[in-house]
Amino acid sequence: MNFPRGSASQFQPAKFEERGTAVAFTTPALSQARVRVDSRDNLELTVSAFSGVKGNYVIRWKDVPEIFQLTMHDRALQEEIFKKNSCLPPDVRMATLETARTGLAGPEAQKSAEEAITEEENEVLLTRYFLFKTALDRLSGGQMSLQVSDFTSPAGRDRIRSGLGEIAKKLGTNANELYDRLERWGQFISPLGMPGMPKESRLRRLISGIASLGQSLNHWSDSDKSEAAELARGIARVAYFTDDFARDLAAASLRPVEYAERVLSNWEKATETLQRDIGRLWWTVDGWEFILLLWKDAEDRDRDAQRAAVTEIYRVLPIIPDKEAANRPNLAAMQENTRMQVRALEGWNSGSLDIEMVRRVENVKRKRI
Amino acid sequence: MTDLASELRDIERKLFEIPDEKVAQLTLLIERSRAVVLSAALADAALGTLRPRLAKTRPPRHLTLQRIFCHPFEDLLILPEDGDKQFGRISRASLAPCWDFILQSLDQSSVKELEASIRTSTAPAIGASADPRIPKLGATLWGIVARRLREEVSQADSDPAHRAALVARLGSETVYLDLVDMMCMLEIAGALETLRDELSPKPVGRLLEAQAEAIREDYTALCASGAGLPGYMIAFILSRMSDPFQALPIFDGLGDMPTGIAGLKPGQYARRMIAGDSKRFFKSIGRADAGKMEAGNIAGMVDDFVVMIGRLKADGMADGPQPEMEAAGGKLRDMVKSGVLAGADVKLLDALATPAAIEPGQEAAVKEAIFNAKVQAEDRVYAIQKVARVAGGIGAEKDVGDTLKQLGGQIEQGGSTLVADIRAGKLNGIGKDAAKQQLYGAVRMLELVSGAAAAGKLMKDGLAAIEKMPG
Repeated sequence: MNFPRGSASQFQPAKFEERGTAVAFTTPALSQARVRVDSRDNLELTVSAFSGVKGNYVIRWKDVPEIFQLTMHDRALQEEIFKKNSCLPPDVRMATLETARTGLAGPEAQKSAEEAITEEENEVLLTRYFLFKTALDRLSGGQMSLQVSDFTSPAGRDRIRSGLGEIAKKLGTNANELYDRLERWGQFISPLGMPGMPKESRLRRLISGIASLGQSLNHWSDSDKSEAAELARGIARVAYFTDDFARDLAAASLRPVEYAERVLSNWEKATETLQRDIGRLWWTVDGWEFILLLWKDAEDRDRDAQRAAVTEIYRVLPIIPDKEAANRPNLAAMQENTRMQVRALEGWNSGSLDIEMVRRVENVKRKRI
Repeated sequence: MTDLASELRDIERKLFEIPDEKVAQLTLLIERSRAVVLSAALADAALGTLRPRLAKTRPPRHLTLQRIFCHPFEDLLILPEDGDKQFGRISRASLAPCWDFILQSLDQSSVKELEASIRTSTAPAIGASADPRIPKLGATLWGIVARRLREEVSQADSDPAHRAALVARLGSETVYLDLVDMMCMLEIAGALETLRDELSPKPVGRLLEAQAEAIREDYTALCASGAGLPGYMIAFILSRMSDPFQALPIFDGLGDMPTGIAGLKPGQYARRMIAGDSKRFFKSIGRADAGKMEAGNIAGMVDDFVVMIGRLKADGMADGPQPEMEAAGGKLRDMVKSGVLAGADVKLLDALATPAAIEPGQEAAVKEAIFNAKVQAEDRVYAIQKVARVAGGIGAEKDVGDTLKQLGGQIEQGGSTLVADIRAGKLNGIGKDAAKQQLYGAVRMLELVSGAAAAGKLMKDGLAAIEKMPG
């Protein structure tokens, strides 16, 4: 497994923050371009070179609407991210959903965003319930009984709080504070969910999807005779690596539940670790949702469309940066520069938006994992 | 029947949730029940429902002698537009009479032996790209059938009475000519099997260099072998491709190599076949009913038509009078007017309308209705924009241009009224968020119809007005 390293490899991002977060723009030229923070804490956009050569353009975020002819959705999205001034994946995702909810990317994307927001609220609720239950089972010896509905009403929450007094004392805090800590903890890990939940949370679904994508592309490459077959195998290798890396991070993110007592009694310090672990998981799977949906869409289409999808996926493939996984074997093999593919059928010289191409990108935006 | 129909609808809905194994079981069950428990039509309807999933799961199919027989020429099969024989193609309607004739002509003990072999053979696993039993058992069947048919056809060639009897037995001249084509394909079946692997999966899109080379080599080898009529390999190749025009340089490059038809070079053979396919496409347009088609499908048809005539003209294949082509162009122009442009303004107005007062308990229904109206309006605008790109090819550029201009004006006017109403405080009662929703709806529609510049102005004016709203 030896990928040739390009001459520009020294310019590869070394950390997630340098790589930035993929933005679900619908303007074809900017689809999956990345937002990151520069040395002066200003946002900037990195976008692959349009001519297909290696390397990226780096553009000040606030200048993006001046340089590119954006769709109305993308103008709103650019503004929303600019207002939040954050390039953290959860913040960019929320900005993306809020923007899609305006309907500027079409009614289907709007509906999908509304459903995703509701789904995430349910995930938070369920994760909290399972976290409280697991943690309190340990701390109270199974004395406290909980219902999901307790978390949806002030009376239910009060009932839980009132039962936390004794445990809180043991942990050197009070019932309200203990409740808040558990609630925040549940919020942190809700994108990952807790074991035993009836439905997997989003990040867990993404991780499973990445592994399945690897299998699917490997299988596809066996029957393909074009150059795309090699790209597909390369994507599959990156998918397996990412899946493996993400599973370890997911396990690390949930491990503190096993020693909840220590976490809740050393909350300030523990919070940093909790946030860091789940944050790294967000970065790891960032950009994969678009890829999974793109491939899912292409699977039912003809071979030419599938080859085009493979090329597009290869172009936007999120490689885990050097320093994030320095101790893992095979990391170097994943560091190939992927920015060397020219997108097919792009009206790059017309300067105007191709409505059909915008629609193709919007089609992906309508769907969810 | 009703239960089965509703079950089929249910399957259609959940098609991609069914496990692969279940799909395989269902497929085998339907195919085995064909003409035994289920009628052929019902079995076909059931398989039709499963078809999108079959392409993905590739379950092993119920193997029959007829399926093996058809394998060498299955790519050539078409649903004919009329009873005429089409060059390089075989009508599906000819399958049954030809197979009946062949079954009766064959030595029955050989048939039984082959059927027994099928029963004892092991089906391939789910997901296998091909059934290895077909070429294996086919090698015997194809040879036997081809030899038997060659005897009949040779006799028919030399004896008009025998030919007339054969035509009468088969049902028509077209069926007889299809039978001859089947025979010719069976005669070169071995050579086709080698090429089939190279030209898989079907349809072959952009031809790879290795595939082009394989075509050249295999065609040359077939010509050198002296077996069968090589032109049928051209028919096989073209029918596996989504864009047969790209193969023309390859066949032109084969120069004067034989095709089996006197005076017809490989390049000419390919053109004749493409011309036949185009003619059938033009005829199918004539049959289309705009009233029963989605605007998007009409737009797709226009796009396909314009691309095709462009290719035909570029290759000199549309010189001289082209009545079918002209009729199809005229029909499409009418279809665009009645099925794409007409009523577009109403769709847009529906999408932009705001419900006056929602009855309690009706919120979900109203929301669903608004969503559907927006989806329909967007689909219609996309269809118009798709046609707009190629409208010149059917002489509809003025109609389409005028419609876009009218729709753009209509939305801009609505947008201006909305902004004026916001400024006048008429939307204060519904609040900023609801006002924004209305604005975004108009902006989105204007962007699709008139482009980002016009929509950008409306967005800017609207948001500025909303900013000044109280609360």
